[in-house]
Amino acid sequence: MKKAKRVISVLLAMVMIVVAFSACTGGTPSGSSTAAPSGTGSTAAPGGDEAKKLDIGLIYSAGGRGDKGLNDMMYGAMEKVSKERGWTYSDLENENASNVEPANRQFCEQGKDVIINFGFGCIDVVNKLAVEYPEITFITIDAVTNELPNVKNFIFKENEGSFLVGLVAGLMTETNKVGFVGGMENDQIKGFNAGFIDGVKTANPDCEVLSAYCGATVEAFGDPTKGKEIALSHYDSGCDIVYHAAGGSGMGVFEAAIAKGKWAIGVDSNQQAEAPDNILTSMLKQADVAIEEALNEVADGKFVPGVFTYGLKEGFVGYVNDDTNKGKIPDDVAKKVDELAQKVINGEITVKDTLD
Amino acid sequence: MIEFIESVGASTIRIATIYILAATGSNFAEKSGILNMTIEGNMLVSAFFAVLVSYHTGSALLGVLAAVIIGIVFSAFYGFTAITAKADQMISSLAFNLFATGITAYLLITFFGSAGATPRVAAVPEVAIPLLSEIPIIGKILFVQSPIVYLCFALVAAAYYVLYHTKFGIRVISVGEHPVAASTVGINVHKIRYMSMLIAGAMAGLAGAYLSISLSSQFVKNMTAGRGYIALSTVILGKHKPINVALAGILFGFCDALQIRLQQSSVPTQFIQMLPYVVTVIVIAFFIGKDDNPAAIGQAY
Repeated sequence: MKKAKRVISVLLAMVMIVVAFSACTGGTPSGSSTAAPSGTGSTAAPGGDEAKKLDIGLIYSAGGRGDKGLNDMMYGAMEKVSKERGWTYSDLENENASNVEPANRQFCEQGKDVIINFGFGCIDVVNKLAVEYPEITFITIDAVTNELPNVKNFIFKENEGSFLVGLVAGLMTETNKVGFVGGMENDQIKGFNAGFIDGVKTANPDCEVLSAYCGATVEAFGDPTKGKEIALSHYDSGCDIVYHAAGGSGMGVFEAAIAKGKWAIGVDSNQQAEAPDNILTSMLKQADVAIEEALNEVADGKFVPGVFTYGLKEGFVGYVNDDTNKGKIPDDVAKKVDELAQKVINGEITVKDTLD
Repeated sequence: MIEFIESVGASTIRIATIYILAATGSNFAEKSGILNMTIEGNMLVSAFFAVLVSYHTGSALLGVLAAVIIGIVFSAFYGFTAITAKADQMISSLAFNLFATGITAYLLITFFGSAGATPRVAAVPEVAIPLLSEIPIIGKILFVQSPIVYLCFALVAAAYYVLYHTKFGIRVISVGEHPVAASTVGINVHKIRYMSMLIAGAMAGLAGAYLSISLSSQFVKNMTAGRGYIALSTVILGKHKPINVALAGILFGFCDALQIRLQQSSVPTQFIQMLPYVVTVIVIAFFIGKDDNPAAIGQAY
């Protein structure tokens, strides 16, 4: 009897571990269900005969799908190309840093045409696997790897996008105090912070900016309780607008804005829907557009490797001022922001990218 | 300055309540001799079901009740492996925590079609207690909080009373110190340990609900973010005594709250984020002395 109980408990534990891991790597080929209509010629898209049908592997960064930010944006891009182009894709979650290599290797062994990684955690892995598998194209976002003929890196000038929302905050604050909530404290997130502060000070030199980060590890991108506490402390200290670059922790920032009836600013994608009455605008980083471009290059056989840095000038970062947040940003503020944005594009203003 | 103290104080109590709720319950399990490392997983699963029930019924109260029930069920399963099946408690705890991460991620997709977060649901609002909330400083800190925080104060007092002034409490302690001796005087060791484990589960469930539908109003993947392990440290730092455990919870909450404010004043972040750990080491080294774990902790009977 005792033995039977032990066996049961061991089995129970094993089942749970299996469930845990199968959910971590929710890697069903979700795109394959929308396979392209098998070509009878007449339905072929223009140029469809030449363009290669891609099989793509996508590895999410820490925070994972459902962060209402970059991860969801990538997922959206994959859904889009699988519908429009009939390409297939598989996606894998990246629960912790040690998963990056196995996930990439799995895609390599499956013979994917393109593997997409993002976040600094993938650098060493891509450096290694891109040499081992020269026939596979690697695309990375927010990570600069070695220069290899089959690797393309996209870097976005988030500081320029943050500069624009900083201008909005600086022009619209009534308390002359605004706040910033960062996720993990690293150079990339500090770049958001630096651009934001630069924007606020450019628009309103007397305005004070309070900054705090959720942590020093990647988990800091998925801790809404911490995000909320930081935002509450910003609002308690007199801030009336708080900008976040904190991934999933940003959900807590919106909670705080709702609780205090103050403004928050979203990041990466248009986050208006998360708190329609309290989100002033969002800083945009159109990584999905860049990825689509790169995929098209691969499909057409016109792939260009190297590091590509996209900012305001190239039109890949910006801020939201459209129907979704209609009436929230006064016309004179928008006009001023657009003027200064033009100066950044012309090179008259260089936005800070590091905290002094 | 007064505003600063109020802001830090209220924040301290908000955060500390997570640790105190979970730790006060878990203390019963530990006192009875069960090494309870499943707080993290229990809180995560309960937090999810609190949101799920609140989402479908529109009632935050039902959400909290559901979380408590789920907490009890979760701890009953763990209790089965630790008490009846005599599995290694450390390994088994680990399995339960991994299970919690996996199952919540899976259910999140199943019920909400999202991999990261649920929509916002009805949550327990903060309630200012009349008169008490008007006391200078203290009022804003202690009496403008979620009802779950008030409940937490009461539960700490209740835990103290039950553990030291009832027959059940004495039995819990004796079972944790020397199960064989307890058994020879006719105490049903397994029954006492199961009951202690269920108390731990109910309170971890309440802590989970507090996290997801009181502090927040939605579930976010892995939102416990290691707080269950801090609750575990809270029990140890509090030397398994209910009042001390509550004070340890407040200390951890205070460190969390203070480091946010210090960051705003541009002290290097990495340094500040060491604060809770440095304080823990100092407290353990200079104020705690010899640990007083129940003699039979982690040992199956």
